[in-house]
Amino acid sequence: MTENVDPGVAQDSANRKTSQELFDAAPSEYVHPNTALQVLWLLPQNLLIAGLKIYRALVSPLYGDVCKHFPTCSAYGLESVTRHGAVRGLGLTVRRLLRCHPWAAGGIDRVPDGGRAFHTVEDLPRIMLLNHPTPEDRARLLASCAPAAGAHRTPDGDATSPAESRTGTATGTTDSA
Amino acid sequence: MNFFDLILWPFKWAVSAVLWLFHSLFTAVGMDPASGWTWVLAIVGLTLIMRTLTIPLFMKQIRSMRGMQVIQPEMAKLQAKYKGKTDQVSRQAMAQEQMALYKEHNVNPLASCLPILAQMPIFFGLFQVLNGVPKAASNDEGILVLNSDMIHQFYDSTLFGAPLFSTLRSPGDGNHTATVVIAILLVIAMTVTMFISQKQLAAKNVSEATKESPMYRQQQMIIYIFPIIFAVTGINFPIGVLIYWTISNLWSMGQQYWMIRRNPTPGSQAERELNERRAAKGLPPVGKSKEEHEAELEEARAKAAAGQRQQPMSKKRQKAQTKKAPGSPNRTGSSGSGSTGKK
Repeated sequence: MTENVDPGVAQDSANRKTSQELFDAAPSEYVHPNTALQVLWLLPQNLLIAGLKIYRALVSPLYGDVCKHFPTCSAYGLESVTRHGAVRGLGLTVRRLLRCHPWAAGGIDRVPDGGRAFHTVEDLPRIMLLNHPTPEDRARLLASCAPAAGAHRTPDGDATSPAESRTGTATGTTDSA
Repeated sequence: MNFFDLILWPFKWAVSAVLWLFHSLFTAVGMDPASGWTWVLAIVGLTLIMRTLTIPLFMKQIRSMRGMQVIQPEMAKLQAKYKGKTDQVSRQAMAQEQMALYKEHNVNPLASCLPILAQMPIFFGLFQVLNGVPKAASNDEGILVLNSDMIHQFYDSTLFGAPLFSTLRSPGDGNHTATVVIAILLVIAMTVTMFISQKQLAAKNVSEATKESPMYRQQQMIIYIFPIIFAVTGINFPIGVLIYWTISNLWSMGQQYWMIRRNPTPGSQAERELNERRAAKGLPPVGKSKEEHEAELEEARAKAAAGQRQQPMSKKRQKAQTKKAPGSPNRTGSSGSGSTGKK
């Protein structure tokens, strides 16, 4: 099924793992700064990520299942701040909350593509795996991260990905935070 | 005024207006304007207004829950597909398919997030109004709709000697022991109502498939953290806010009881209980017309009769067969149309 979604070699290796193995080994949502300036610049984003994670751990369970969408509002919020940074992520989250009212039809409503780029399935933070739970979803997500040129750049995903994804991650969010 | 206050301002205004309204109302009826009970009733009135406003939303949710019966066969298929896949990512995949199914049939039994979130600023608004009382009283000021006379009445009024704005940490000039005792009683009341809602009521309203998931188990564990959270807030929040919270919890509990009794989740214990009650009254299970139900019963009887003909069987084999029956392959069918198997 992955064949029709522009398969990369990297995805192949990940498809061999079960989703649970991927989830257990997945990195956290936080953005890792490289310089002192970046620590400050990324602080709002990382604080929001922390706040949303605490909310999801402590407050969400109190209400049970209420959200009309997939991913739920809090999962959408965490993913959008993780991918698009503090300002755009917060804006997206507020708009989503306004969409989640009793008269809404609900349904599948994903965070828009763009922002921080991820090149292999192993790079995806936990919330991204939860919000893109099937191999097809993940393939589509990675394809959206790799525009035309990027798709051919990693012939050997496993060897080059760690270093490359780190720089990709940092620059990706600096643009959008 | 910072950003947070700016957002909170309209909610704070609304809280003060509703408190003013109820206080004036109760005073007009002849209650003592400076009595703590008048103010307690005003806070209860605020809670009731808030919750009454959400009733139409609640009814809307119940109506859409009825639509769930239509997609019941497809839901059963979905539950069968993900049976035994209890890891978090698989549960998410199931949730995603379920959501697509709701959308396809234009039914959605979920309540939506906005109304729940909208109640939070009211809560903080009340917190800020009550917290501002001592300062406003000493400055001879009003708070939004509440004028300075009313603030003085509020400041002087007590409940068994405890001022309504007092917290465990700053008990004011009132009777400290009364504040401590009332705050502890309210924290216990909040914990008890919360436990009844979650452990007694909600636990009956989840399908077996949901009960298997690690998310559900995690959710159940977190319930035990809430008494601690309530205790921490109980120390820091004014008694008036604790009263609001307790009444609100009581309301939720009643609402949940009513909903789970009348509109249980398909495949849950609550649904089985409802169908048993309906059977006792001679009614068919929920979501089935009398004719459908009878046709199914007839079919089941015919099957049973057909099965009886194979009767000659060694005791060993019989045992083996009955053991197999509740096992995996049959289970998928019966968990979906649980009511059929039951009756």
